[in-house]
Amino acid sequence: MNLTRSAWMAALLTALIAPVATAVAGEQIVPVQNCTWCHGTSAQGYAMAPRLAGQRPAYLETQLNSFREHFRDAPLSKQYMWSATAALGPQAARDLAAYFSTIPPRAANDGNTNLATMGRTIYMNGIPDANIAACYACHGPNAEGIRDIPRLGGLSRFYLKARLEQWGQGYHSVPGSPMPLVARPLASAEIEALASYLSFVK
Amino acid sequence: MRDRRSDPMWTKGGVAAAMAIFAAVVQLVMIGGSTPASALPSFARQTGQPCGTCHTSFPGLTPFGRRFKLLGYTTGGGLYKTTPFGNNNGPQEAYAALRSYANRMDSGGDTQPAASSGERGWVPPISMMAIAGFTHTQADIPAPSDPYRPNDNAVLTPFSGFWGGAITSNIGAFAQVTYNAPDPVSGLSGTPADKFLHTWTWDNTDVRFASTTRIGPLDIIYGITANNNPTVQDLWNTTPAWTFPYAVSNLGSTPGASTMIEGAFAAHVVGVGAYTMINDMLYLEATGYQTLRFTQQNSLGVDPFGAPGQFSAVAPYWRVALEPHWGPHTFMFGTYGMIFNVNPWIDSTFVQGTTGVLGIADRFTDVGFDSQYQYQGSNYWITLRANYLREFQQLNASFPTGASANPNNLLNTLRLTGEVTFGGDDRFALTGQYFKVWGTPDANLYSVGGGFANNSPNSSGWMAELDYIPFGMGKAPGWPWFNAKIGLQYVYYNKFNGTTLGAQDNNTVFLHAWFAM
Repeated sequence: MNLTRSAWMAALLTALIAPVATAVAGEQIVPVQNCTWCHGTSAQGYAMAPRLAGQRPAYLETQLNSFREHFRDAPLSKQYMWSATAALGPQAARDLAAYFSTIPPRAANDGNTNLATMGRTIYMNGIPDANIAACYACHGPNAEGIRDIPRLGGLSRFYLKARLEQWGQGYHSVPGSPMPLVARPLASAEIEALASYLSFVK
Repeated sequence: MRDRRSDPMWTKGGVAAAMAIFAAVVQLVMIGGSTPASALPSFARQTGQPCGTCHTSFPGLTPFGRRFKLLGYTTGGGLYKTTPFGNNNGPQEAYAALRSYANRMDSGGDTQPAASSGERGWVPPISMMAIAGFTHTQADIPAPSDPYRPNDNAVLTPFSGFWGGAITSNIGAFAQVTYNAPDPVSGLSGTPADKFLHTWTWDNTDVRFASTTRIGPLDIIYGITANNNPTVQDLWNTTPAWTFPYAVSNLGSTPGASTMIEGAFAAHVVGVGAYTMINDMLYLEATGYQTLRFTQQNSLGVDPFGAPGQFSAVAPYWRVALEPHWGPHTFMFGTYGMIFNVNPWIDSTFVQGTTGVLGIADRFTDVGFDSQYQYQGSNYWITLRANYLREFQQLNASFPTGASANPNNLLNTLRLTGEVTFGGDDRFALTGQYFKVWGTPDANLYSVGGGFANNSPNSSGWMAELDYIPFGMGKAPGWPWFNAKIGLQYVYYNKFNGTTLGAQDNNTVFLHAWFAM
């Protein structure tokens, strides 16, 4: 019995000491964990939190600053990101943006495949009759984005849909964004189709 | 008017608890700040997030609350420094490491060290909690009810102090010390063993190491947990340690039979285990538990005779859970279990003055199946939980000694819970639960003397609770780390300890105010 207990205590002590040693020896980038907490272990998105991996660094940086200044004001932004960026300096925002932009993105693939063709048509051609511009013009042929125009390809259907809807609901992103004007005329079926199509784009 | 000296709320322990609350409040007021409140306010200071990021109706967890726990309580992001260690793994150094990485990637930018602006110093992650409750039971407490009145009592219990937060960037702890008001005299055993009853005790404790890595296409979170209560480390509020009801009256009756994993050995054991979450979806854990020695338990404020005995070997615990999730939907399908080999006490009444255990052991194999669905709406949460436990009892010690009438028994418990939480601040939560305990009749285990009828462990009933939480997303004016929950709970029994006859006498109304700061 005593031997068992001694062995047990030894195992307990080893288990407690080993991680301390690892923690001291290992290089941990703490602020990254503060993001991946919600955005997924490799920042590919988790539940309602969008994918950050592979996003345009300039876009990530401007959005982080926009959250911090309480300009980006959709409900989930207010709920989570205002607090998350309250203590985040501009340089740290730039560094985090640079870090996440280098992680290879994976497509969410969670859209409705039946709507993907219609979504692709809207994305590439817009809807001229409704005066809706082609998304392709700014976000690129592969929805990869450029500078502070975000990569949309492979983001989750839920996130894309929520964002497209929010443009018409009066929420803000960054000063001077053309999106409220561009996206407001989109009907809900068109939003659903775009979100579905984009979720499959690699 | 009632005499305060005889009011249980103002027992010696209660006064000590109230003074401790006051002293701690005074101490923490000195820190100041404007961080939103949380269920465990030290977690809010650390993360900068309000209560509602991690909790629906605390301590019930959201997907992000589960991930915070999974990552070892170490995630920061608040105004305060996350860990006490400034020389390694602190935020400044971590930001510098990130800056260096960013420079390598973009070959440009200035090289000044990045700093989180406005960061303040480290504050010990200490929190407190108190529950003041009013209890009405359908039938009076059996006499003698001292130090309580026969019915309609207001009692301050429990009161807890916590250490909750990061120690290093990989190690964090949730550790609780609790004051529990004493039982009514009629609820005591009336034997010499009563001298091992305590009011102050170590309570739920979970110390973790967590880290992340990547193996091929797999994102891996892995960690080690050292804890004192099987399932206290679990992420879902389906398993026993953190299941609804979160607060119960110390004066209400609860069914006499339950499986071992439902808290029989809580705080009587220590366990160390390893866990992993693969691709943010598949959770695996294996942990081994051993009972603390009699004197160790007693020194920690735990009555050793409160558990059925001592383990004869390390008790293995396992857990597998699959959590598919998309957008606002999160599912979980899981199974867990534990095997207990328990040497029963030779004399749990302590009449013979021995703290020894029998040389033979009972074996309890508990297997659980649980499931959860959680939906995050624009301003509300819907959570459905199910938990089924089946216990296979091989009573190799209890049967020969006559403690049980059968060599083998089965015992099952079921809880089906639905919760709707509505609102950010001024949040309301409505929770309903159906519960059932059923198993093999046993003339000795479930005897009339033990409070059972028909030799049956069976109980079933319903529970409903309406809660009001003032600060789900914001902060309390003047004291940002304060939060509260006002709860009205009603427990209705269809069957209690083997009979429907008089079962409703145990129905309980529990109006409580839960304070966290």
